Amino acid sequence: MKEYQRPLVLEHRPIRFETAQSWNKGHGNLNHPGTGNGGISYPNPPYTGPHNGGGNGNGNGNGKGN
Amino acid sequence: MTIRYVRSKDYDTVHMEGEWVILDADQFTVTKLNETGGFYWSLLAEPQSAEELLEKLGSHYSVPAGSAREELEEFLLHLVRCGLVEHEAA
Repeated sequence: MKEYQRPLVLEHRPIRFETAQSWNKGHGNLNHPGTGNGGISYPNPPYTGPHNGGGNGNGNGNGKGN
Repeated sequence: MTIRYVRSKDYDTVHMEGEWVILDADQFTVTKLNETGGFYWSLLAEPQSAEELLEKLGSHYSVPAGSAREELEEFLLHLVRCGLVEHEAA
């Protein structure tokens, strides 16, 4: 026999998902058009330094920009 | 009329270290229950009345006389408010 304890809901909370805007720190768009994560814009300054690949990669993307 | 309670749908549930964690992938919530709450939750895969839940509790736990019924009803109400359990009239 186990010892009885009052049955309880210890915690009930929403899940917060992380997106590319939150984990790709420094590379995010300050005003992206998406609605993910509650539509919150990336809070940190965008990355302005050099990127990998020396410019011969897949640059000139088709993003919607700001 | 007997009110019976049942999980409102099939949820992913993890039991670890005395706690039960329920993931609602539609409502994007996570809910934690203590050990006794998890015992009730495991039974609620099938419709159960409060009397049936208390009877099964008594066969697994040493339950002191008194407040178990009231505590169960409060717990069930909390689960209903969380959207995890619904009741049906039989």
